Amino acid sequence: MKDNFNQIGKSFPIQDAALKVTGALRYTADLKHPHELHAKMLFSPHAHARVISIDTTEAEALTGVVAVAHTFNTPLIAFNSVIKYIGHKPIMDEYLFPRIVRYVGDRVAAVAAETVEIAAQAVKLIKVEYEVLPAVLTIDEAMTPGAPDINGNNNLQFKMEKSSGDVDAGFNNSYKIYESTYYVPAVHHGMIENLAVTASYNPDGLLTIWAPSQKSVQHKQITSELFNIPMNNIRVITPAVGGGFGNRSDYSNRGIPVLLAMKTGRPVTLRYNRRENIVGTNTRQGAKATLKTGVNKDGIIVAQYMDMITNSGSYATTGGPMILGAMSSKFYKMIKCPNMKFKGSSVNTNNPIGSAMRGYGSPQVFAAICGQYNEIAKDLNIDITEFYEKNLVDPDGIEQLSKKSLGNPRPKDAMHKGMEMFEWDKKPIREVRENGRYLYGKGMSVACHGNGVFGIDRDMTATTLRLNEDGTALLSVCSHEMGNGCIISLKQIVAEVLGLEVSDIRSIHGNTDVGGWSNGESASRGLFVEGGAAYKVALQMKERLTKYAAEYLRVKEDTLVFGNKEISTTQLKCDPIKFIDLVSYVHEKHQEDFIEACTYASVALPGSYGAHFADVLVDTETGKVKVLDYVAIHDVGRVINPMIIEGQLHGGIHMGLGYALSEEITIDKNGKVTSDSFKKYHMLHANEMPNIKTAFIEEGDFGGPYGAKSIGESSTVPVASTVINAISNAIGKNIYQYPAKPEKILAILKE
Amino acid sequence: VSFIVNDKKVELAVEKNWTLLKVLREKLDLTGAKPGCETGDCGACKVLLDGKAVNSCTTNIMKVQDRTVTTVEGLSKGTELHPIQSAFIEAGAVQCGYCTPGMIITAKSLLDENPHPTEEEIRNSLDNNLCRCTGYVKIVDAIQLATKKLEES
Repeated sequence: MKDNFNQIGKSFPIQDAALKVTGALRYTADLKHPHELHAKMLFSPHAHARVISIDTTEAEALTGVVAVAHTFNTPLIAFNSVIKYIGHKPIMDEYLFPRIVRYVGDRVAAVAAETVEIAAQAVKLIKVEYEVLPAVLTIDEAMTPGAPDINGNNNLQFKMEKSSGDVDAGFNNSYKIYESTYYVPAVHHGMIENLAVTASYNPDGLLTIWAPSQKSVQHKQITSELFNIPMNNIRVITPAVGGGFGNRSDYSNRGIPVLLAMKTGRPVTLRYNRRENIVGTNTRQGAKATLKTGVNKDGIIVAQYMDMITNSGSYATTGGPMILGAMSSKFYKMIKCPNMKFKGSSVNTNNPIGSAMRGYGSPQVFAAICGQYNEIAKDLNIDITEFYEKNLVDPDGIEQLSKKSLGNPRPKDAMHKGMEMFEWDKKPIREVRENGRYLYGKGMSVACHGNGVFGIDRDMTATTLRLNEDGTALLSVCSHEMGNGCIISLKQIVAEVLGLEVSDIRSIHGNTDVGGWSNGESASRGLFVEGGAAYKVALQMKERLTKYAAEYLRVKEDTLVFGNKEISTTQLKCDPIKFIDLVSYVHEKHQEDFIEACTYASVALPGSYGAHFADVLVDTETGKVKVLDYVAIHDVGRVINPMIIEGQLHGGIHMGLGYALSEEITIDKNGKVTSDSFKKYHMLHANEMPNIKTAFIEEGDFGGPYGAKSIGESSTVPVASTVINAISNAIGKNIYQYPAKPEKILAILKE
Repeated sequence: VSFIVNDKKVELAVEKNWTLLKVLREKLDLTGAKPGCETGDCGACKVLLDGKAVNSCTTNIMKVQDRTVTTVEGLSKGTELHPIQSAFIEAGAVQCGYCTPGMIITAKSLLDENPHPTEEEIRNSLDNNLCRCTGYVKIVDAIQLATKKLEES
């Protein structure tokens, strides 16, 4: 698409960049509050236990301790960390402090004290009597008949099934059928900012929460329900977000400082260290996926059946219907095959909480799909790209379940562009190098993610836009800048519509007192839906400016042209009217100000597709994998900000490489997380990264602003399977268990 | 303990087991250095100690006696950014921004010692700095851009 834009398609640095490079931006933990207390948590040492009694006498006797909260002095109100709106009833199984703790790291008690050191000391003085209960630590353990029942439903949280076409007939007519089971681990989001939450409760009844958040509107509502505070008396402020990736969607432990602030009447800050972050906040759900694919002699998929089991860990949060719904929706967005069945189950285990993380459900689904496609192509002796060519949806593709249009899906264009940039056809699929010490392999994957929750949930965002007297603007929206470039993109959209410069617009965001209701930055809504809200409110402002400019210039509205903070007409030869003069004219003549508000509700849910390519070198002596070149192409409709979109994709690749190679939350036989530091939880360093090249397919799609769709989550979805496929091709054996750590590769090589 | 921080001499009463990071953040209100791991693994807390990048979270405050500390706040002159800081903005190396101060300090330490590093030297210098947003691509670009800016200035 070639269009003449002034602000769209141009690079602008992220919101607050200058504050970030100078250290001036204050994140939650950087703020100081007068008379502030510091909190520390007592976490469960047991994977599963009943709390019999708690003795806080010694802790409370310690000088400087102000309050101690636990299950016996706190209301037992069941909630879910991802309640979205009043009346939303996901599985409610969390408590501020439960009577039965469900994992090593569960909330047992919290202390508020004058200093963090005193709070930490007091936590050690709390005496808890537990009745230890049997635990289940893996999906397989949880599903074994007769296993200890941890959730009152034999560990099953939810199950569902969706089917299209005639799956049995499809398999009966298959030339070959492939079936394998894939295991992917729980992983940590790895945002570098540790969770910090401050709550203050004023004598006049106003509660304020400061915390990194992706869903502060929802956190306000959960707070209102848990503490019985009317919503007009709660504000949730997000000073900054040092990485979100889904971890900051969940309410998690935000209620604890609120509870302590209400008990003490003083501001209370809870700051987590890295171990507490890894163990005590949510993780990506681990999963076990069995995939069965039937193909005909031409390599066309005629039936596909996925049996997906997700590990929700100790509590439901986004597990159950939410994760399985998200997974099944992606399952149906990729290929043309009419006969498809998705069976999903989510189970509870005594693991840390499994919940939302970048790509929500898709990395697990495509680990199986893309892994199996690689295996099928090899078996049928056709190039994997040829196999995708035969089976991927075309731009006129329909979703087989609903028989509705998929929008303008361009996975094939992305694949073609990637093949060219990677020089796919020139590279061997595998090669033995240096007398057999190194094995070279190449691999690729095509996968997708969504754009918002249209048709599934309340997919709306409300916003306001004000014009200052000089024609500059103020955008208010309860979006959160978490490093994804959401805010700068919204400004670009408003600037484009109104003929302003991006620097003419300031935004207030990350504060529940501004903007209006929004479903937050989850489900890749940031640009697709919130950007839609920015577009809509800017159009409303443009309409009003148009009306008054036509009146002032005495010309027809459709002759007006916006640009450079002024409005000109093609009807007459006259000077344009500057915004500053038009606002003054309207203030004087009509005594009206320029304030627009709108609610934008999404109208579509297209897919965002990515085709990724990588080659690797496997060291057969050490089992270590070096990823050499990496090419990623994404179908994004339109690029709003090249610098931002590239950064998002690079970060998604980093996260996916860790999923493939090194990242895993490991748990010992007692349920204790052993990968509880950055030393033991290995995220890739700069010198472990491949050479990365990226490009974007810009063919526009329906529903997003200027035809744009998401990148944030889709960026990480095809990564891990791309690398796993390259390793599989290099070593000539399939890998069914992530991550491919050196010891695992050596074991496979020995087989 | 007394030491120089961002060209200013400070004298403070501290506990012997405190870290430099704690003192910077809690006593001096210099919150540019960030806690990310407090085990020396992520580099978000890096500051220059006598010109060399160190993790302030694992540096005992007593070791700082009579020495010179520069934090990310000390690099800019008023509102005028240091060339490395401008390069990070222009190259798009800033996303969530939490690792950024540590990255900039590491870059400063590297470029003071080696004004023309190769890409490999840049990547190796970042071995003790974690970033979850950028895949390091634009951070490496930014440091390369900074070498050019420093040459010109």
